[in-house]
Amino acid sequence: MSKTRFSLLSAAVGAALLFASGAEACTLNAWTVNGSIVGSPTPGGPAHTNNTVRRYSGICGMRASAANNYVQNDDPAADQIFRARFYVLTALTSGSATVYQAGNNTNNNEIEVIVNRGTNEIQVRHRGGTPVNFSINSAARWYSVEVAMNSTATATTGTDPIPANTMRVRVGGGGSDTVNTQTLSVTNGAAIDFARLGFVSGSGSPNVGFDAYESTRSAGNPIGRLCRGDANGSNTITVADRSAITAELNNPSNAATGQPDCNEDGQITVADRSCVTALLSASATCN
Amino acid sequence: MRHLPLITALIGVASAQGASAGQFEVWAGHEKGRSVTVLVTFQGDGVTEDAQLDLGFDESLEFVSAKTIVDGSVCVLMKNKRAIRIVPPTGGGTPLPVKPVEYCSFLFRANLSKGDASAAFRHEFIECASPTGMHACEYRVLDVSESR
Repeated sequence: MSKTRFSLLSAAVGAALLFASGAEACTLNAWTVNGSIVGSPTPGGPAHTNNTVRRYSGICGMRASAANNYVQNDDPAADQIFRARFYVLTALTSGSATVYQAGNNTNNNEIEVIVNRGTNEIQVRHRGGTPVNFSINSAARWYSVEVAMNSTATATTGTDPIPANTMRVRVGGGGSDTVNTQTLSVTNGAAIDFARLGFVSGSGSPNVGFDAYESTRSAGNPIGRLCRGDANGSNTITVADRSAITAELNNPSNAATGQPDCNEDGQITVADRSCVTALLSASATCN
Repeated sequence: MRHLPLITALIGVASAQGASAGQFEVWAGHEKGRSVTVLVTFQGDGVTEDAQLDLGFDESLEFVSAKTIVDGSVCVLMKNKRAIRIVPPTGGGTPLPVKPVEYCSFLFRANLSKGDASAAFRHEFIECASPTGMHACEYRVLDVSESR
C-alpha cells in the first residue's frame, strides 16, 4: 500500500543547516514533485525570514491569504479509498475559505473542506452537497481535519474500517484532545486524482494557516492526530517539553521541533508551558 | 512531618551528563497509626529549570491525598497507575533554586504499621531539563519513620 506524505518542511538535514545560518529554511518544494504550487502560498516558521507564518509541528508551516493560493498533490490515481489529514489554523476573522479540495477532472469537489467564519464551523461536503459541520472557536485555533473516503461498494477492514460509499470526517483541536466524528454518503465510484491544500477558493480574510498534511490509500488504518504539547517530538509528555518551549521563547532559532503550540492558539507563549504543566498533571500520554 | 534521623536511604536513578545533578529527596515515614507521610524536596544544580519525578509504590501503601506546597507544582496521583508525580514549577528561564525546597507532600495508608516506608517506592521516571537540553538528575528515598 503506497503512502504519500508531504511535509511543509523542506529537506530535513539541509533545512536544519540553513535554519542555523538564518537563511531560507522553509520551502514548498516538496509539492512540486508530482504536484504544483498555485499562486503564492507562503511558507515560513519561527526561525524563517517569514517568521510570522505559524506552524503546528516541526519548524515550518504555510499561510495563504486569498483564493487561488494553494499547493496541489497529484499522487492520487483514481483512488476510491483515500485518507488525508492536515492541520488548519482558522485565522479568518470574516468570510469563508475552501481550504481543502480533492477530486478529479470531472468532479473537483469529491471532498471539500471549508472554514466558515460566518458560522464558526469547519464544514465538509461531497460534490457540493449538504455538509457535515463542526463548531470551532471564534478565535484562531489549530484544528486537525481527517477525512477517510471509501466510494466502493464494499466496506474496508482493519483498525479503522470505512463503510461502503461513505466518508468519515474527524475534526479535533482548538486546545483540546477531543475529536468529533461525523459521516456522510459519497457517490459510488467517486475517485481522487488530486488534492489541494491552501486557500483554494472563497472570500475570507485575512488568512488561513496549514501544516502537517498526510495522505494515504490505507484501507484500514487511520492517520491520526499529532501529540499536542509534545514540544520536543519525543512522543512523550514530560518536563522536557516545557524546557523546549522555554528555549523557543528565549530564542526563535531554537524552535521546538515537535508540537509546542499546546493550547493550539497559533502562538508559542508561556501559556503553552502552562498547558504542558496541565497535561503533566493529568498524566497525559501520546498515543 | 518531622525530619528524624535517617534510617534507610534508597538511592535512586541518576541520568545524563555533568558533575552535579538535580536531586529529589523523598522523605517517607510512618506516623501514628497506619499513616505514612511523604515529603518531596528538589535541589537544583544551577542549570535545571524543569524537573520531574514519577515514583511508583507497591501494594503495601494506599494513596490518600496529595498536597501542593509551592504554587504551580504538580503533586498528583497518576491516572491509572500506582505512582505519584512530582513536578516543581517551571523555572521558565531561571534555574530552580540550588537548595532543597519542599514542593509536595503525600499521605498514604499503610497495610503495616511498622517497617521501612521507603521500601514501598520504585523508580518510574525522572528527568531534569533546561532550554539547553537534559541534565543529570537523581533521587533518594529516605525512611524517617518515628518508631522502629
